[in-house]
Parts: sequence; structure tokens; C-alpha cells
Amino acid sequence: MSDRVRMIFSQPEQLHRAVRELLEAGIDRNRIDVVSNEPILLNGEPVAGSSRSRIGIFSLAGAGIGALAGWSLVYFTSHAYPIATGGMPLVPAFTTGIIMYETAAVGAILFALGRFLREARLPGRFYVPDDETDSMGGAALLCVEGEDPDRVREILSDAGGRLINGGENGESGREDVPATAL
Amino acid sequence: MTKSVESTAPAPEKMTGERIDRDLLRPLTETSRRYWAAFAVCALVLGWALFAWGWQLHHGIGVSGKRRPEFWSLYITNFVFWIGISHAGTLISAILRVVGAEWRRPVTRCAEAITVFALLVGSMFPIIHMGRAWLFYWLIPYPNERIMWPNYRSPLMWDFFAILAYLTGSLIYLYLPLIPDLALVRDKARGFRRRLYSFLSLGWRGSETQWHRLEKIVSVMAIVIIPVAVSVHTIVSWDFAMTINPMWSSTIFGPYFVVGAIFSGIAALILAMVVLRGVLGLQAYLQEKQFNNLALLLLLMSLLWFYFTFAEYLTVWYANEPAEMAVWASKVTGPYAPGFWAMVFCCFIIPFPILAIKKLRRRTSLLALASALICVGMWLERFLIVVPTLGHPRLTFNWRGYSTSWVEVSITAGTFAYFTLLYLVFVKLFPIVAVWEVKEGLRHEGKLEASAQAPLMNR
Repeated sequence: MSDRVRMIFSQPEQLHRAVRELLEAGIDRNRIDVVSNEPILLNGEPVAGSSRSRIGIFSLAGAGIGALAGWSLVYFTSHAYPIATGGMPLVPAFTTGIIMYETAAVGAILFALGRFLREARLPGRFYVPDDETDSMGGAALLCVEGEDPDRVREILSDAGGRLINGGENGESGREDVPATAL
Repeated sequence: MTKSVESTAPAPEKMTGERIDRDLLRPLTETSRRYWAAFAVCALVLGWALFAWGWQLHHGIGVSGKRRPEFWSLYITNFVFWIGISHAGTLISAILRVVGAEWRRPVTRCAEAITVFALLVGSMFPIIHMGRAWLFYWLIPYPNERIMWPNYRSPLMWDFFAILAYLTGSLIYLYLPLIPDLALVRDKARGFRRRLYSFLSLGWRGSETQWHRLEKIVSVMAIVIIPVAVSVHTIVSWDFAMTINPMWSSTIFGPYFVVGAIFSGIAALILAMVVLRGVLGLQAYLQEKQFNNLALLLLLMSLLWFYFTFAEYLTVWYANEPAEMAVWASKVTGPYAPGFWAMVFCCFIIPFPILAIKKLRRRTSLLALASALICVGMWLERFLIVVPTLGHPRLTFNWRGYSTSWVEVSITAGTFAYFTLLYLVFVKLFPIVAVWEVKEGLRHEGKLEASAQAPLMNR
């Protein structure tokens, strides 16, 4: 028998309340999964909590590495085959600085992207819905797994959730939703 | 009779997620005859331009009309113009995100797409201009056959790095906020489309961690992209300003170009929005506040552009240096005067009252007219920066009037068709208004109604 409970919340406030009550009831934060079609964050943070993002730090590190890569490219290649510069230095600070500025930006962008993909676990399995589903705005799905299902169901229902896997085994009972085929 | 933005925007007080999905995803499934007509016209013009380019490749760069001393003419004019247009999107979108302007939501993707396509079109011109396009890789810093690396002290080399950085950033900045919408389309699509969007959406689930990280990276990208965007057009201006040619060697060229780029970029964005709004029926999303705010930004940029242009021409005239004055006179009273005065009328004299008077700027047709004129005026401005200076070098025996050729004109026309074609294809494949961002904005304003039906969600 599955111990997975999935409920729909049509308002973020209901979702926030449900998560708060689940946490107060001692449900493990890692067992709560919130999925939505739009960001339903509480003060900019995930309602069920999440590990700290390091995208900003990686972006800064990427900028540093990018700048160093730009400088290395200019410095080593200019010295590998010195050309006549009419008295100008081989690696002038002004012009090398421009190259470093751009490579720093590329480094920051690529490192931030890499870190984002890792933290968001993308690309994930190429997900394809296995039945007729239709997504609409203003709703979120809250899924709790590995806890006492009756207790969880009670808490979520009290908070305003609607069950979408009403069967005992958690696999059936989903409300029929008309699909908008594209 | 002109219509006001307000009168054609039947936006209800509250909207449901269903309606938003239906409205914004409709263009992906429904194709009007007008769409195919526009597609066919653009494809024809592009085909002709490709023929002209093939002609140039076969017969050599001479058939484009380039002769001493005007080695840079329409191709480099177009390069500067399109790079300027690219400032419409990512830069404006990033600034609006950073300052938390809520009205930006329906506008951002429309703008970001302009950036990517304008950069793609603009960055073709150095390759077309090279003549021997198959040697394009000589532009890339790598140890070539002569074991020599490019000259990093050259602004042309800085161009390569700047455009590469901006294109990379803009592509990613366009794609990341698109992922949730791709997942939305995936969930609704069937057959091949479902597989395609499953691939493109990278397995996005919409978990709160993913949303949180998406918001985070979009914020980081917005901050990184602003200085890159500013640097791109500054560096393009230095292609000219680092020389000692008359009316090019100017310390204000950097900010002058950036202002001009943002100016033409906003005009292009408004024009695109007016067309999209009418053709795709997006009246409920692209509303008066979006047009009004962009029109006010355009007004500000119009004043700034006039200020810079005045300062540039005044200082040259006051200094009265003969070589500079020759170029100045050729523009203001000489053979290029019709273009110069057309530029002043298109960029300032006609748009200024339209944008400054509230009643006028609320008319979409007048706003579109002002935007179109600004785009024309800014193209003329780029032309007047590039060509008259080259035609009047310091040694007078080299002076020459400019004439163009059918090859150059065809390729120029082709790039406008190419840009439009790319945009048409994008609109057909992807939601041009960010669905999730609109929903999020409406929720913040308390205008998103809860759906009566059970939503998605099979994840």
C-alpha cells in the first residue's frame, strides 16, 4: 500500500498553511514536495524550505576564472609571437582589461548556468505526462510520501487541500480533467 | 480613425489561469493567413538577398559598390544598427527586472527575442563585409596558419569578445525563463510536439526548489547582463572613435552610441508589441500601462539622443577644424543633408510631440508611427556616422561621393526580412508572452482567480 498523499491547493495561502502545519506536526521537510505552474514562494523562499543556493558565489567565481582566462589568452599568445606594436606594450592594461571584462562576464554567466542546472537537477529525466492532464494557473500540488497517510490527509484537508488520489493505494480516483490538446 | 490603447484593451478585472493559458498558447496552434502571407513575403525577400550574397561571393566584394575610400558603407551601417536594436531586449528587460517594475512581465520575452535575433543578424555583417566569407574563422582568436594570433589591441577584436558575451548571455537569459512555459506546453501537447517540448523543457517539474533557483539565476543574469550590454555598444563605437578620422575621434561616442542603441531598441520593441498585440489578439496582456511606460522611456531617450547629437555637432562646428568641418558640412548642408535632416525629423522633431503629449502617445497608431520613424532615423544616423567620414579623409585628393549597388541594398533588405522571419518562427514555436510571469504578476495584484477545476498535475 502506497503511503503517498497528493493534494491540490488552489490558493498559495492554503499551501503555506498546509506546509506550516505539516512541519509543526513533525513531518520531515524532505518528504514534502511542492509542485506548481508558477512560483509559489513565501518571501522569496520555498515554502517547504530548501538548501541555500550557491548560484551567486559560483557566478563570482566564474567571473574571476573568466577574467583570468582572458588575461592568460592575451598574455601568453602575445608573448608567444610578439609583433611590432610601435612602442606600445605587448599586453597593455587598458586593452587587455576590455578582453578580461568580457571574458569575466562569460565566465560568470556560464558558471551561474552550470550551478543552476545542478541545483535545479536539470536536465532531469525527459518527463512526459502519462495521462491526460491539463495545467492551469493558480494551483499547486503538495505531495507527501513516507509518512502516516491518514494523518497527512487530515492536515492537508483542514488546510483546504483537495485529494487527487483518493484511492487507498494512492493510484486512482483522480478527477477527470479535460485536456487541451495542442 | 486611430484607436487608443485603452479602448482596445478589454482586460477583465480578474483572469483565470485557464484563460491565460488559452490566450497565450493560441498562437502556437492557430495560424492565420496573414501569418503565412508575412512569412512568404519575408522568405521571398530573404531568398533574393541570398541570391545577391551568392552573386557577391562569386564576383567579389567589388559588386557591392565598395570602393576607395568608402570601404565601410551599408554593411557596417547595418552592423551598428542591428547591434543597437539588440539593446531593446535583454538590457531593458534586465533593468526592469532589477528595479522590480511589475509592468514588465508581458513585455520581457518579446524584448529578449528581439535581442537574440538582432544580434544574430548584426553579427552576420562582418562576415558578409569580409567578402571571402569562408574565412570567417580568421575573426576567432586561435593560432591560425601563420601561427599569429589576432591583435588584442584592436577594437575589432573587442567586438568579437563583446558580441560573443552578449549573445551568450542573451540566449541564456531568453531560454531560462522560457523553460517553465515549455513544460506547460509539453503538458498540453500531444505526439511530436510533446516529445519536442519534453526535450526543450529539460524535464522541468516546477518544484519549489526549481522555481527558487530559477528566480535566483534570472536575478544574477540580470545584474551581469546590464554591464555587458552597455559594453557592447560602447565597443562598437570605439571601432570608430579609436581612429583619428574626422568626426569619429570623439570621447562621447561610447555613451552616444549606447543612448542611440537603447533609443532605437525601445522603438523596435514598441513596434513589435503593436504588431503582436494586433495580430495575436494580446490586448488583455499588452495594455496601456506597458505602452505608456515604454513611450515615456522612449521620450527620455529621444531627449538624451538630441542632447548628445547637439553636443557632438556643436563642438565640431565651434572648433572649426578644416578636416572635421568638411565632414560636418557634407552632413548638414552638403550631399548628405537630406539624410541628416530626415534623421533629425524622424528621431526628434516628429516623435517628440507624439511622445510628450499624453493624448497623442495613447494612440497606438501614432505611437507605432513614432517608433517606426525612430527606427528609420536611427538607421540614417548610423549611415551618416559611417559614410561621410570615410568619403572625406584628411587627404582631399581621396574625397569621393558615395554610391551603392543592388547587391548591397538587396542584402540590407534581406536582413530585415530575415529578422522578421526569425521572429515569426519564434512566435509559432514559443509563447511570446511569459505565461508564468503573467500569472505570478496577476497573483501579486490579486487578479488571478482560482480555477474551479482540478489543475494539472501529474508530476
